[in-house]
Amino acid sequence: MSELLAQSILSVAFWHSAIRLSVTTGTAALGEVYAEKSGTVNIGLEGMVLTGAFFGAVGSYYTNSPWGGLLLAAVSGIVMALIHSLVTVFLSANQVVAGTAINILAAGITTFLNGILLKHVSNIPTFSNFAIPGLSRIPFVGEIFFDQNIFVYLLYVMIFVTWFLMKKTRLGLYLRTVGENPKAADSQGISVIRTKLTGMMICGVLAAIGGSFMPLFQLGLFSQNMSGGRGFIALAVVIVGGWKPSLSVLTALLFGMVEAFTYTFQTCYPEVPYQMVMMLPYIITIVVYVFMTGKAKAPAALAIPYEKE
Amino acid sequence: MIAIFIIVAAILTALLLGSVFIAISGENPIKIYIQLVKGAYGSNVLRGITISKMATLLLVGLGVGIAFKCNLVNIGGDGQLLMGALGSALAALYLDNIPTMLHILLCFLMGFLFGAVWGMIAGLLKAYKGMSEMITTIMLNYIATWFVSFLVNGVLKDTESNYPYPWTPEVPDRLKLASLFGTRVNIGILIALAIAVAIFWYLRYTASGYELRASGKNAEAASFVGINVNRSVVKAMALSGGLAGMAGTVELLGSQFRVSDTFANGYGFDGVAVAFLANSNPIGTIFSSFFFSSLQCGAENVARITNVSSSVSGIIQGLIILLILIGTSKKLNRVMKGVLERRKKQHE
Repeated sequence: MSELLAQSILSVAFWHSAIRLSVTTGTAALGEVYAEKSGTVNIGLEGMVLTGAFFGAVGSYYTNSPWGGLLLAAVSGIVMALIHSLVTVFLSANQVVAGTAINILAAGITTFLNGILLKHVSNIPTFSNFAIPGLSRIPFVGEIFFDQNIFVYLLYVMIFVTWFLMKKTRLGLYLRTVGENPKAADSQGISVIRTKLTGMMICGVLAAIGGSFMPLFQLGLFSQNMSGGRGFIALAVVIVGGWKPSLSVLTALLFGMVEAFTYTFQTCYPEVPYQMVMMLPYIITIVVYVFMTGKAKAPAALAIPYEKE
Repeated sequence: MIAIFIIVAAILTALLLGSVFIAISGENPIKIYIQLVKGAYGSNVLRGITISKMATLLLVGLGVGIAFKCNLVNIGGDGQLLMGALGSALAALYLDNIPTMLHILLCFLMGFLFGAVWGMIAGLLKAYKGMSEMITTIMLNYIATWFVSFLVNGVLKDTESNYPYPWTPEVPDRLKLASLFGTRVNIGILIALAIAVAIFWYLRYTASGYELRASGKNAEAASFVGINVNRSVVKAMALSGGLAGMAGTVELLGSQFRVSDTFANGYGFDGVAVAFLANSNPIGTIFSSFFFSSLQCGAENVARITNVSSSVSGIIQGLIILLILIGTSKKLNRVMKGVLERRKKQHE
């Protein structure tokens, strides 16, 4: 037991892996907050994470720089968000079906192009760790949170930016109004289409950047369907986090912690079947969700297509 | 009539766009599409594979369709199918001394039950806790996958074969679904077709089916006339899961013969595409499952002999759904009408 503790919550390495395992989910979840606040449920999040991962790898390989990968990933996220919006925002079609189509399409396109653009590529330029001078010297806490990589720092910044944007700016007010009551927003002269489009585009960019973390830092390569459900988990994370940016990212971190813990648990207790431990994060999510119901309210017009009369 | 026109136009447009991808691979699209049809139906064996897959997709698609009818989105087909396969495998491997026909029937029953319970969990959480069935079914997918993985790595593991990946022992030969006369097509498709007709009848001609549809169309109005909407939601999810579970049975006794943790293979999401293409109509689902299974099996065969990746079928599938969403958009329809009227006025 003491060994398990020493190797888990008392160890810096454990927290590093917990944070790494939650970066993709957390970033994508922040993106989903923008979409859902403006009334669009984006089931295609998983596909956007996957697209970001693939084009992140492509960009990094062909420009020979991880920055190129990050940029191309963001662009690919915008393109996917535009396809989604064309159907759901402009044409007011069923959001869930559109999202499922995006997921199927993303899996198809990335697998297809992977065989052409990244054939025999096993190594791409990646970002390296960057310790923030000073802060990272703080024992334990500093080492955990400030001896990280650009994706983690970006996530910190985005939590604050998202909170600020939602609560303190006009765009945030527009997004929330459109998500709560598009008709009222419309009568106030707010363009519902433009607002929803903005929400979706930010969502696409963040989901894709979250996805690009996997090839651009964690693994250094792209593999088929590498998103592995992290986009789906991000959807759950947003609900459990009550549509709040900070709580959503914290929930994502909780997910990463449980995942990291299962790996540690495996090495400490190899006799316990690891599959039973791997089930835990999902069971915990459902249980937390049960207790969450009624506590936080979803945007009132979520998933309801809006059509001007 | 217009709906069918839109569907055909969407399919043709998607195939046209798909040919761009084929051209990128350096192949002639027309030749590839011909090869695709040959790959799905060119021989007895290929026909067998394609129609088996159709049976599985049809059952999952019927399940997703029933949920759609009740205004529910079941994306948990993968988990429900896997649990169904597990239930069937338990019946197939551990029951003994039962007449073959009865034994097969029991396998289907267990498949239905296991899938139904898995779907019902999401239904109960939706009805009584207001939890999004999309989220819970996705979580239940992962739980099912790890649970089955736990079992096939442990108590259910086949210790006799030297296969490097864990799976269960093979189901007894006498339980494997028989082939139709002189073909490699197994009777799974007949079972699936019969169930499609039964579901059509259930939705259209029974009180229970009517309640289910009414709850989906307008929950408020339905509860006003005394329909228990919550019960409809639970029922729809249980039925939906049960049908996916039976897809697991058909897949187990007709194609795969063993359960492994990769057994479900994304059928649940394909089911959403199948049900959507058919507009959730059980009879239409027969055609859409036929189409998608042909597309997928054909593409796999094309990939084996040419440069074109089998993932091109996924691209086409995704495009078809998006194009139908565009084509059936009421908003687009109104805008187009407006444009035409304005033109007319200008002419006058």
